[in-house]
Amino acid sequence: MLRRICIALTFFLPSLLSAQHPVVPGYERFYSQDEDPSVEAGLLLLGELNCVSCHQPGESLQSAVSVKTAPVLSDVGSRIRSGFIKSFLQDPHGAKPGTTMPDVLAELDAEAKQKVVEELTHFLASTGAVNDSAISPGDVNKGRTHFNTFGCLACHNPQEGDRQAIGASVAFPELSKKYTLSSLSQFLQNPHQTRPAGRMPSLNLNDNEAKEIASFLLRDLKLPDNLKFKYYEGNWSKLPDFSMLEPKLEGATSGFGVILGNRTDNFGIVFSGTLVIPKTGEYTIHLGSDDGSRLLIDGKQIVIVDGIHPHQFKNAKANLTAGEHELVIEYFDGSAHNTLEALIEGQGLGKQSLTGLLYTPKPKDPVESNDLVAVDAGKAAVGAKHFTSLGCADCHQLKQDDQLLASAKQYQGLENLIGKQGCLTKAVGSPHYALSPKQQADIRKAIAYLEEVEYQPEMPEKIHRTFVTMNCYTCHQRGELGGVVDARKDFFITTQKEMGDEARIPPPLGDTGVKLQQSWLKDVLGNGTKVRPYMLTRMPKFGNEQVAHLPELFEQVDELKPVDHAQDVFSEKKLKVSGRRLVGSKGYSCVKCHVFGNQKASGVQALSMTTMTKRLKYDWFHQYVINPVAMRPLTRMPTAWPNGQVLLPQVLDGTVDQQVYSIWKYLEDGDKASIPQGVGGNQIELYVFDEAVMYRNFIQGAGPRAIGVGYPERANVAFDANQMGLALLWHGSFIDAGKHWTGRGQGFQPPLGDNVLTLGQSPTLASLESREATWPAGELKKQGYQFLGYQLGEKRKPTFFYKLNDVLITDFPNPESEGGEFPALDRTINLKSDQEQLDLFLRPLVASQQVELGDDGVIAVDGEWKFKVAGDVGEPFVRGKELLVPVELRNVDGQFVGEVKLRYEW
Amino acid sequence: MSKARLIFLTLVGLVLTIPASQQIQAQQDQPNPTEEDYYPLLQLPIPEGVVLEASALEMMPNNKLAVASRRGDIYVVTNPLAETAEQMEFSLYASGLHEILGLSFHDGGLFTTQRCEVTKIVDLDQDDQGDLFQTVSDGWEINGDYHEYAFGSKVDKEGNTWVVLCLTGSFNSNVPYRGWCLRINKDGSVTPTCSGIRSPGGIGANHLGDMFYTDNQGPWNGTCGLKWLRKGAFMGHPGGNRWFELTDGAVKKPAEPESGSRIMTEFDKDPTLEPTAVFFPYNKMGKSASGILCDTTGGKFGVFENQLFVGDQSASTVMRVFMEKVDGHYQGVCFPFREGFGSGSLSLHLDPSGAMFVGGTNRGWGSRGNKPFALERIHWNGKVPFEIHEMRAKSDGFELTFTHPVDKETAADLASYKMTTYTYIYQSSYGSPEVDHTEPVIKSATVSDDGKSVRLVIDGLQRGHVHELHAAGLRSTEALPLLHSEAYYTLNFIPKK
Repeated sequence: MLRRICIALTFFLPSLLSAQHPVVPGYERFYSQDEDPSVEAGLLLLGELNCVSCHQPGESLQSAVSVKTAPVLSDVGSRIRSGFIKSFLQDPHGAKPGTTMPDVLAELDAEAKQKVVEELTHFLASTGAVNDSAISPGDVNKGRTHFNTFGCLACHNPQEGDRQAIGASVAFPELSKKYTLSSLSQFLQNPHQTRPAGRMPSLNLNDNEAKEIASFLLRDLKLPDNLKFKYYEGNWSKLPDFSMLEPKLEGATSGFGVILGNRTDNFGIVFSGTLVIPKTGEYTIHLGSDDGSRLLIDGKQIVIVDGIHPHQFKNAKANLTAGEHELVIEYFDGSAHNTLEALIEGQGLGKQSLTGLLYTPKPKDPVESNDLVAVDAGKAAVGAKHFTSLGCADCHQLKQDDQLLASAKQYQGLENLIGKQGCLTKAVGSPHYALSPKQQADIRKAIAYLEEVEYQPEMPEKIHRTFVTMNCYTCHQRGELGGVVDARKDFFITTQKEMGDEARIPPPLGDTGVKLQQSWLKDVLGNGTKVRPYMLTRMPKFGNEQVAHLPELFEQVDELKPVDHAQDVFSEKKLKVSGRRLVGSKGYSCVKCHVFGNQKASGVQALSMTTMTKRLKYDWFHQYVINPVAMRPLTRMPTAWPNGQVLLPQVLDGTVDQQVYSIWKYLEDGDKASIPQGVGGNQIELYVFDEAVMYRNFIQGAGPRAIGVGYPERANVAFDANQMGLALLWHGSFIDAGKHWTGRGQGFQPPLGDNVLTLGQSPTLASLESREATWPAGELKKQGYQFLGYQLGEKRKPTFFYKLNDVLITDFPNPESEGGEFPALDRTINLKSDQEQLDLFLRPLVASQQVELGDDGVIAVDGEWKFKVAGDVGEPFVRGKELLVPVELRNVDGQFVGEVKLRYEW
Repeated sequence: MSKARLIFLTLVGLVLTIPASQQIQAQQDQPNPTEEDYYPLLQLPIPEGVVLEASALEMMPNNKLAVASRRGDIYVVTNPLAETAEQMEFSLYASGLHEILGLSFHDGGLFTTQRCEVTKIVDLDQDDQGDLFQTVSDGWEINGDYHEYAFGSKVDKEGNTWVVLCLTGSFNSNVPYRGWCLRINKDGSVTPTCSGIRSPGGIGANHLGDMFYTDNQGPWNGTCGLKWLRKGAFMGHPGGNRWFELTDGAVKKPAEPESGSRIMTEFDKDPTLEPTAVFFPYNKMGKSASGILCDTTGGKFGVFENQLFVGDQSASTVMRVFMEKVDGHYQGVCFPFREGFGSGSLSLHLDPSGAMFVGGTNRGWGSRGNKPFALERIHWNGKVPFEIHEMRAKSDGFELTFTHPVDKETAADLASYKMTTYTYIYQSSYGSPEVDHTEPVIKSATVSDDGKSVRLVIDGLQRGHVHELHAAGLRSTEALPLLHSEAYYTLNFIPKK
């Protein structure tokens, strides 16, 4: 069956575009042009037209038909204008071309139909009231950009210009007749709430984006006037006394748009209207304008922002009683921009435009209005009966008083429809779908087929069906099927043209099952993603109900030969260090094109390396990086191992497998991976030669008062002079001073080297009342700790000085010499006090998982590294993840002294 | 009779016999002198590869100049007073410190104010490298915001270091004592001294030991200004007022200032507020006031004994300030002094020999001098420029004194002067335009017998206003115009008769 539907159509006959038949995008694209009817097409329509809501399929057929539930109509009156409801019920295809909603009342004569429509409309309108607010031109402009770039055009037609309607598009009704700004915004932000079928996915819009797209779609909305205005012309630098001037123009308007006369410079306007305050109390009124303005309530000036200036806000508080108040806003513009905004907040009102509180006269003549003037309870009650008796309730959920309205109609089961006319034509007693002859034939064929054979689709067919119903194919190609049609290609936009189509066209999904990890795929389908920041089209959120089965199907269907590579040739530490080197600018320079977390790449900004191991499967990654073009023929990604050659033979014995694996191991640290060389721009590496190098600054993991020390032995430490302890140890390169030595130097800098060991920002020494007492934290100066400085010794290595009450401490970190690539750190701590100290403890480390005391005195930490302690100490002990070492000072001529040697091997 | 006097007399003779229009012509033939003719500038030879964003300066006992940088290095310059740059040498004294903004040699060590603490650096083995870094005090906190700068003074008579602490950003004080002046006493103890600081650019004492700092335009600072760190006073920005509770009542908490007011209006409500001693009008004098020094060289730097010199980072200049005390508060006037420094002037140091060192950087904040960093020296070559020497407030006007006798005719001519006044809004939002403009009437200009001073009687002095004076028409007896003919006097208090 699959072969027959394999012809991916990218052209559609113009006649189809205006066709008065239900438009199911996937059907239009894959089946409408076939000459012969097909079972698959018919099954698709049975689901998408929601036939099965009335005609229940038998048990054996349930898996054959996927169900597209109809929009939820609870509270529909608060979302959809009643005028639209009425015209839609009257003529579904007229009000919304291509709708899958049938004309249920087609068989009635005109008069009877009008009556039923009227009653149904009153009923639906009785479930709530729409709340209009004005559209701002600025929002329209922003919304236009969003609409044209976020991916709306993958399914919908362009809304402006002379672009032809594109086949398989989901057409809009006249949206300004249907929605208000707030109801459309809410729908766009959370489409699944009222359309649980998920065919309209969520683009994860934030409040502003939703409002802006809604504003664009409703840009024709003309609201009833709620302000009077007088327009003046003149050249002022301050607000003039308008009462002394003659207006050039007078009229009524809606909202505070200031372009009302001929001029865009050197004009003034006085708005007046009636403010309806909901609740007595104090409000804050914000007035912003370019240039000057002032706001008066009941003749009293509340806020003034006078003079020539860019858009500028001032605010003032006003006590207002509930009820009507006279509002006047005076405004003038000199030159350049012209803006005016008046906002109110307080008494439970969030900061919002004053226009929402303006008295708006209701149109006297209902004919002029979109909306019914008032709901007639009698008609509504009759309408409610129609809703259940005519079968509306079969498809649409509608809760009233928390009760779901149930249909009173009975239907034949799906199996019993063979040979019947019913809904397929305009038979008496049936809803009229306006099916095309091809659609009718397809449905007939499917029903007949179901009679004969038990439907058992293969897994690839299941994937295909989902791709067709959810219209995945409009963006993604899978195998030979789907992909962006030529007519839509221009709508897919990237911020990085030099990356080519890869940067703008959503990725092909032919190998998804072997490429992506299931957990990642589930997250993407359930929540949407924006992993490619340069691709403006968003992967929307489809929700889980409709697509949750896909990840597993992909995994079972897609195939890739596994990679065989030895995993234990090199230590993990060695692999990570090597992987970091390879991706950096002194290796294969992956960082030139790939972003690293929030660090930009130097060339194009391809997707981040830090999420790769979270997204990808290793086998795919391995084969892809070695030969990218074999798996993505059009990719611009080069290989680092051309024809299997190793360009850096000194790394990991020059083995391709181990080099690829090392990059993977390094990237497994995700956001925590140390930044590779060549990332972040303006790098100023501090090199360490024969003498130690110090760096006091904001160091990530060691606080604002960190003291970094890079040693000639290629080990480094960061001492936290606020917390009086070693916070970080690492190997290799010392630090990049670029962040602090360019610009103003904001932010914390992480170590530049490898193998960073985080010991934590806390004091190494404490005086505890008991072995169970909490280790000190917080403001240590108040607890007797004081940093005293340091002295530089041999090779300018520092010995740190600090004290805890009476105890003076010297702390000398010194890496082992001849320690190779990963030298250990020896740390000598000397303590001295005039007083006997019985409760001193060292806490040289806090593990992230566990500390194990070995019999040989070696302490294993997190199963990854080792620690040793010797000197004037008692038995080390573990409490939770902490290692504590009691300090036992010796009395030497009345002074209490001690020396402790610590060794970190990591 | 000296030769100069002879020439002068001859010139006067000529002037008397030729028409006025030709006089002007004659002056234009001879280009007017420039700042360089009196205070020539020398660039110090920073070695190639060294980035020396010179942020603090101090002369060491061995006559080497210590130069600290924002990168945390301290270099010493050998022979900094040598005639030519070739004779100087740079070597690294210390490194790895945190954005140094104060150096003062005292008690055998270099007291270094870095972002997080005052550190005494001692060169134990006398090899011109610091070995011992002792924390003198870390009596304030930092939290990782770049804006939390700490500027340290030269050690005062009592051995204390005064530290002015920038707020966390422009508005807030997130950790203790941001927005305060602390005195770090000789023994390391801390005395909270003033609150109300926003964003200092430098700190320095006058000849009497009274300490001043510069604060920059922003919230509660309509423009940049020079402020007296009167002990216990409030400097104007309430952002750091939350730390009064830490002082155990040792410092009086000021009344919360009213935004949109004027400084003197708020001073009248609560005199804890110390009015800005000298405003540096925005753009006219610069945009970013910085280091401060006082000429106590006893004449080695010219005729401006006991006057202050203040840098401006943005304009790459050094300004001159004369102050007097009226009603117990410092107030005074600023004049342009020297422009043309290579980068943004930040640190100033004056050697007793009369050499002024100016360190510059424009990282993060642009400057007219377009080099990323600079270290320069100006010295006085013995010639005295024709300048307004002092400007003193009187109950009914001002008294101007000059560095040379004035031409009595132009000096007595009211048309030689133009005065406007204005002030700034004292407000919580950023900066302020000049507001409340007035044009006082200069009723008379009386020249003293020796020609060295002029008494202006003025109708309409404005308390709390900058009085901006232009004396472009004034000539010296040698027919020279003023090297800088503008002066900006901040008249917080009008002297009583």
